[in-house]
Amino acid sequence: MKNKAFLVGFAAVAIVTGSAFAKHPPLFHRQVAEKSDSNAMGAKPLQVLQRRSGPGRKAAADKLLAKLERAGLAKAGDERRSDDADAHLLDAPDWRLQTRGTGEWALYENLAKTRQLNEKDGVPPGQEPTIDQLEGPGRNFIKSVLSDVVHLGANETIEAWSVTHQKGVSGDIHGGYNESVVASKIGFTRAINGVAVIGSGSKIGVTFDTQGNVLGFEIDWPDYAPLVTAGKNAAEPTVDVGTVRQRLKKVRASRSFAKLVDERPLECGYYDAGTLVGPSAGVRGACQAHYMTASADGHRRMGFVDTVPIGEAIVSDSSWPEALLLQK
Amino acid sequence: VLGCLTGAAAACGGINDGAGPQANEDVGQVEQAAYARNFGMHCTGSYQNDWLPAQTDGVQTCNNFGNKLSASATQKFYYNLKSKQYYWHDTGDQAVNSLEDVDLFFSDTHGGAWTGTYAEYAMWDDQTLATTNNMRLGDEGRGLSIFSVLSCHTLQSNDGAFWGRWGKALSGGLRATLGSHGDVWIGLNAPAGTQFASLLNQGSTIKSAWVSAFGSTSAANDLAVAFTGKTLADCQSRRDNMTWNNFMNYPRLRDGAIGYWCGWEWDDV
Repeated sequence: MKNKAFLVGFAAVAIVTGSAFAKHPPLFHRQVAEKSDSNAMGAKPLQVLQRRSGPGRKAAADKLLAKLERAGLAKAGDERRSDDADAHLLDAPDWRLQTRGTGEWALYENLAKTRQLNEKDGVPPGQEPTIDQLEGPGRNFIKSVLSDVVHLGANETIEAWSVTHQKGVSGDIHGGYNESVVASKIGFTRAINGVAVIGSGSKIGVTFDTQGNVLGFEIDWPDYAPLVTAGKNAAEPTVDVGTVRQRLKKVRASRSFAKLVDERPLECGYYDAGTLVGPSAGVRGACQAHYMTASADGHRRMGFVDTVPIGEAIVSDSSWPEALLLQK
Repeated sequence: VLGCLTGAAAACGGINDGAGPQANEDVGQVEQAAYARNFGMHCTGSYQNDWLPAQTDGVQTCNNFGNKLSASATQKFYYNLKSKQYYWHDTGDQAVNSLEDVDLFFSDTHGGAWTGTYAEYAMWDDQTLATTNNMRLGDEGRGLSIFSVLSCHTLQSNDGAFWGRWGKALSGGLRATLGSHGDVWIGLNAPAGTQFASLLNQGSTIKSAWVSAFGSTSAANDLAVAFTGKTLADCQSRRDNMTWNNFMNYPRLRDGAIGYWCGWEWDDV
């Protein structure tokens, strides 16, 4: 089977048994969900953090390009560079790299390889690479290519968080349907003293084809520093899980839906909405609820993600809609 | 034109039944560099009588998308979803400031694909849906090229019914349709509106721009794109190489010229 190439290429050992994320997220993610759902953050105080400025978009791109070239994934000099209000872009015939924010956000595409993606090289759904097969290569890639921009502070670790798959689908208009999985992405998050960072910030995704070639990566990985208020590091007392659920209930009451059809366990931790959202009032404790609703006839499904702050005092943050709603 | 989002279509001064420009029929020969692109949007934050849940990030997603794409194209219209079914369907899609009057159409609304004969999109009006079996896009006026609507399930294919749902809508020569084959989560998509437009402006392929943008949230959206081709290889080439800068270089395929459809689907991205 095609998946063998991946197994051989990365010396992975797991048996491929089926789709990953929704049913079986990585162990750390499952542990966070289990703990959060029963206890939120345990009403423990959390040090409030702030995102530190990165090295700048161009400097980050230069660092990444040097490592990408060493890994054979880009060739310096092939690129055209440009800037717009939000991004520094390196555009080459066979690859693209862009950086945003202050250099903590990056997106790389291996165009030479993604152009070659074809359903005939994929594996049937159910035979996708597993977390175990993807995590090692993902970590190796972070170590070898991303280490100049992915820094870890004291008591910080990188934890596997998600696995997603890309499927090619096609059909003759007179009938027939084909599908095959051609690529998979392993996602990582940061843990600070074991507390996961939820939200788009502190995320790394590395995408591989079924042969183990790197197709691309994306990172949103700022360095954090304690938020200092009135000369003191701000540690925020957090509320218990009952209060968290009351806050979520208030937010949910503002959505009008006919019926609730599914609900994932709560996920609590530090909330970093990410570079693309823009400045925030700090990276602080929050719980996130994913729930699926449906119209009365069941024909339309509508999923919601509500993220509520869990500090005793509800933070005033104009970039955080749920915080604004809870303050009303 | 934000005031239009809460007002009636007529108050926005735009939509009527006038004909659009009859240009670019031989689109395969058009040099994209000389082509002035445009786009339009229909967006809503809520629905009449709360017949469906509020699209809490819907308007902001569109605001962000429109603001950013305006760097490369003219925003021809930006209206709400009130009384718009007529303009999504073949009945009125050719009207000035309607779907066939722009190259790219963007919206963000609830959707479904519970039958094998059509996918549906929720309008603002109570119990009103636009359905793909009543659409034929790309064959009138300027001719729509890219139909990008962030909605649940509308591009579902694993039941083998994709062409049954989309055959009519795609047979008018529409070049690309973007959406989801599964669930889209409401609440975190607004920054992705900026990112989608930014990536289109930068020359990313349409498929990469869609998944990189709406897959950049922490919500784990299911995302999909679909194209047509004379052959499977032609379809795959369009799917994997078409950009906002070159889409006009791909001749429209209509009716019997279409042999295949193809797409990518990303789960929980």
